[in-house]
Amino acid sequence: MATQPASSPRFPIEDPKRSRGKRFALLATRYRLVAVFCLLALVAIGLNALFVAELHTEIEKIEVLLKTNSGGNPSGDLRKEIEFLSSQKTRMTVLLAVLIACFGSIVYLFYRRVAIPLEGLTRAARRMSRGELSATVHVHPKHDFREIAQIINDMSANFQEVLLLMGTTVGNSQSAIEQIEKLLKNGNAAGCAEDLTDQIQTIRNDLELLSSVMREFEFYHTRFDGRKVVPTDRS
Amino acid sequence: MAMRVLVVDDSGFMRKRIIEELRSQGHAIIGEARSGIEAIELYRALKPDLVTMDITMRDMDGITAAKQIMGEDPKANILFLTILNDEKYKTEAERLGAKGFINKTDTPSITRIIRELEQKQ
Ligand SMILES: [Mg+2]
Repeated sequence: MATQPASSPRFPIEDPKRSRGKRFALLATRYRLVAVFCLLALVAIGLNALFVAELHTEIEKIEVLLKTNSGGNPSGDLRKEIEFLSSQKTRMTVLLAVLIACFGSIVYLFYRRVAIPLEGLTRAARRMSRGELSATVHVHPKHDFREIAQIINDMSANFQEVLLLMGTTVGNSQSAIEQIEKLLKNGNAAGCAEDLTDQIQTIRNDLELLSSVMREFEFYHTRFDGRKVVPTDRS
Repeated sequence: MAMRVLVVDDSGFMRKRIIEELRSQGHAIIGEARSGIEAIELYRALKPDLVTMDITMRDMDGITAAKQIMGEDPKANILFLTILNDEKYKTEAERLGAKGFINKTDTPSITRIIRELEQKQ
């Protein structure tokens, strides 16, 4: 019946301790590489633009020179020089355009892959912090932020569960109290001792449940010991 | 006899609580899923003896997932654990042939139903 033995469980939810650190390190390296690449591209664009400008002024200078001593002997050499410099300038301008296109696409990709998902995360997290626990972050399987999106969703699921659990438990206890009140109003408390004990037991179970939920959480510098909030031992 | 259980719940906190409870009863947790889609995939891969199924989940709710699982394997043992207390869902669960529809906090009932299932196995 079993496709694999029970002793080798397969969990889709990755072991957090094992893989997370490695993945974040990889992500950080990738962003660092992108940053270095952007910096290099900017430097290259700057140098290239400077070079194109220099070529331009050089060509202009020669043209002025050509105009002033037109008909002179060295004009043929100067014309050749101008042609050479012009072709250099064209080449450099094309290179500059390519560099700018590369830089632009990096910025665009960064916007698509980082800025937009981050905006979605922020929007959902803000809504959740305001109490709209139904807010959802879309978990895109290829986004760098899918892990944090999943964590945000899980956090809101936990909040919802705990709050709803508290609500139902409180409601349950309230109906038990109403039952007790009804029994007491009848005046025959001794005759319905068993019912009373049952209802009290219900309330006790509910309180025990709430208490056990509270004890599972950690709070800043304090914890709930089952009866009251006490400071945690800081070591 | 210990059961091989797949626990489905979108809340990590609840999964932890359910898993601790089931482990304390000696059952083996062979998988966890946090959505209906993951539940279906894992059911196919693991063929668990029992699925504890939450109802309110983001991608695909528990009822839809259970329908699909039962469609593929009518003998699947699905036990709904939810804090929803709604007749509509309850009748829907019964119609699907689920083994129960219990409040997540009702540990005694969970224990009882699982014990009954064990005996039938
Ligand atoms: Mg849920």
